[in-house]
Amino acid sequence: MTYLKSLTPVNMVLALATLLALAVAMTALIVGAALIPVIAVSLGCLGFGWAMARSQPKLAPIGAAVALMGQAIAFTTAFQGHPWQLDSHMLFFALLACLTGLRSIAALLVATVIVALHHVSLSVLMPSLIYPPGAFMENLARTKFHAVILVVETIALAATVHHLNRVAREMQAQTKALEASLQDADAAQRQALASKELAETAQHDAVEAQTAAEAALEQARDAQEVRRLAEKEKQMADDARRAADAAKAREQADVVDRLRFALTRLEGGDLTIRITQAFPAEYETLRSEFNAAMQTLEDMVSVVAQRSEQMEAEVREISSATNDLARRTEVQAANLTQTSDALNSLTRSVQENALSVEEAHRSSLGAQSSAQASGTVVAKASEAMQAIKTEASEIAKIVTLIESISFQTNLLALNAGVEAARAGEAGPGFAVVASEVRGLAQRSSDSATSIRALIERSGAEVQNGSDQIIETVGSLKTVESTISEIPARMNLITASTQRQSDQISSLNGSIAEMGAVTQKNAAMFEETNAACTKLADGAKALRALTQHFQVSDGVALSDKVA
Amino acid sequence: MTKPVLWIAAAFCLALSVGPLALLASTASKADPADLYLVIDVGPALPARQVAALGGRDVGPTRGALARMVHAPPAVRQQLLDAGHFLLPAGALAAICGVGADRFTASLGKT
Repeated sequence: MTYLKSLTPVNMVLALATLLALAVAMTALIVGAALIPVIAVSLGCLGFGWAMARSQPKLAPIGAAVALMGQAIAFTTAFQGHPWQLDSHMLFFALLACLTGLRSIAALLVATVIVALHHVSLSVLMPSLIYPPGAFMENLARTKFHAVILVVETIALAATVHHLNRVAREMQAQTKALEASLQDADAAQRQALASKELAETAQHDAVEAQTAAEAALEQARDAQEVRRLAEKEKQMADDARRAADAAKAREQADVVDRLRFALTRLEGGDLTIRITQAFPAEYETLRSEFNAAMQTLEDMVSVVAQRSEQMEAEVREISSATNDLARRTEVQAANLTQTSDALNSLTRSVQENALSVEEAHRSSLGAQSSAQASGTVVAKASEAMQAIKTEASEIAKIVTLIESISFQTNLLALNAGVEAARAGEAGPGFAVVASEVRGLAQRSSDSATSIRALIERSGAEVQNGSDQIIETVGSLKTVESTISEIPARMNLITASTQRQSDQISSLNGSIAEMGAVTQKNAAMFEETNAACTKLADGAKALRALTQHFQVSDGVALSDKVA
Repeated sequence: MTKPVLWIAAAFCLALSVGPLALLASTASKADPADLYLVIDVGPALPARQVAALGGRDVGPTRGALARMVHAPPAVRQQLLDAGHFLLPAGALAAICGVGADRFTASLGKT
C-alpha cells in the first residue's frame, strides 16, 4: 500500500527519466557517439529536475518535466552526425505527451519552452553546425514548422490536462459529498442509539417518579389540613387589621382636612396661617414642617417685597441719572462737533499761513537776488567813480601844463614888451601884440586856475560819491546777508506751520473719535435707560405679585407698601 | 525574485546552454583537419618544451590563462590524449562562426 502511495505522477515521470538515461547511454554506445558529453547532459538534466522536485514541492511536476525533456536532449545529442538524428526528434513529442500524466499545465508549458530554447540556442548560436552552408533560411523555416507542431501539440495536451483536472475535481467533489453522506449516516446512527439509551433512562425515571408522586400525594393531604387551620387564623388577623386600618384612615382624613384648610388659606395669599392643633404622633412631624415652611415662605415673601420696592426706587434713580447722563453726553457731543468745526477752521487758517509763508519765502528769495544785483550795480558805480577820479587827476596834470605854458607865454610876452621897447619906432605895434599875448596868457592862467578849482571840487565830490558808494555797498551786503537769513527762517516757520497743521489734524481725528465714542455712549445710555425701564417694570410686577400675600402684622403687603 | 522563479529561470538557462556545450564537448575527441587544437590547460601541466619534444609547437604569440593553442600532428595529438589532456579541435570553434563548417562537419566521422 505504501509502495502504491509513493507512485505519484511525479515519481513515475522521474523513474521514466531514469530509465531513459540508461537508454540514452546505451544508445550513445551503440551509435558510437561521444559518451561523456551525452551522459553529462542526461545526468545533468536528471539531477537538476530531481533537485528541483525535492527542494520545491510546488515545482515537483516542473522538475520531473525538466528531467524527462533533458533525456530527449541527450538522446538527440547522442545522434550527433548520425543519419537518424532527425528521427530521434520524435522522442520530444512522445515525452511531451507522457507529461500529461503529471496533470500540470505549467509543467507542459515549461517543457515546451525548454524544447524551444534548446533548438533556438542551436539554431541561433551555432547555425553553421546545424544547417548546411547557405541553407540557413530554408532550415529556419523547417524549425518554424517544427515549432508550430510543437505548439499545436502543447495546446492539445494542455486542453487534455485541463479536462482531466476538471473531471478529477468533479470526481473529488463527488467523493467528498459521498464521504459527507456517509459521515451523516454514521452520525444519525449514533444519534439513534443515544436516543434509545435516553428513552430507556426516561422509562426508569418515570417509574421512580410515579412512586415519588404517590408519596407526595399523601404529604399533600396532610398539608391541606394544615393550610385550612392557617386560613382560619389568617381570617381573624385580617379582621383585626381592617379595624386598625379604619381608625388610621379616620386619622389621616382629619389630617388631610386640616392641611387642605391651611393650603386653601395659603392659596388665598394668607401667609400667616399655621396649624396649631396637634396631629397624631406619627403626623406631628408633618404639621411642624408645614408651619416651618410657611414661616420661611412668609419671611421670604416679606424680604422679596421689601427688596422689590427698594429695587424699584433704585432703578428709578438709575434711570433718572442715566437720562441726565445721556443729556450731558449729547451736549458733550454737540460741543465736540463745534470744537471739531473750530479745529477744521484753524487747520484751514494754518494751511493758509503756510501758503503765505511760502509766498514770503519766494519774495525773500527775489529780494535777495535783487540786493545781490544792486550790490553789483553799486560796485560798478564805485569803479566808475574811481575811473572819474583817475581821469580828474589826469586833467589836473593837463591844467598844470596849461598853467606852465601860460606862465611861460606871459614871460615871453614880457620879454617881447622889453624887446619892443628896445626896438624904437617899430616897437609899439609889437608891444601891443606882446601885450595882447600877455593878456591871453593871463586869461589862460585864470581859466586853468578856474578849471583846477573845478577839478578839485569835482574830485572832492567824486571822493564823497565814492565814499557814499562804499557805504552803500556795505549797507547792501548787510541787507543781502539779512535777506539770506530770511529763507532759513521761512523754512523754520513753514516746518513749524506744517507740524501745527499735522498736530491739529491729529487733534481733530482724536476729537472725531471722541465724538464717535460719545455718540456710542449716548446710544448705550439710551439702551441702559430702556433696560432700567424694563427693570423698573419687572420690579413693579414683582411688587404686584408680593402684594397678593398677607404677612404676620395683620395687613396685606399692598397696604404695607402703600 | 522568489525561489520558484529562480528555479524555473535556471531550467531555461540549462536548456539554452546544454545543446551548444554538448555539441562542443562531442567534438573534443575528433581530429582537426588543420591539426590545430585548443588544449585545456587546467589539468596536468604542459610545458612548451614537452609539446616541442613531442613534435608539436605552440601557436600564437602569448599563452592563455586556462588553455593554449597548439599545432599537433596526429601522432602528437594521440600522445597528448594518452597523457590525459583535453583537446578541443580549433575547427569546431571556427565552425561556430561559419568558417570551414562544411569541411569540419565532414571530418566529424574521423577519429
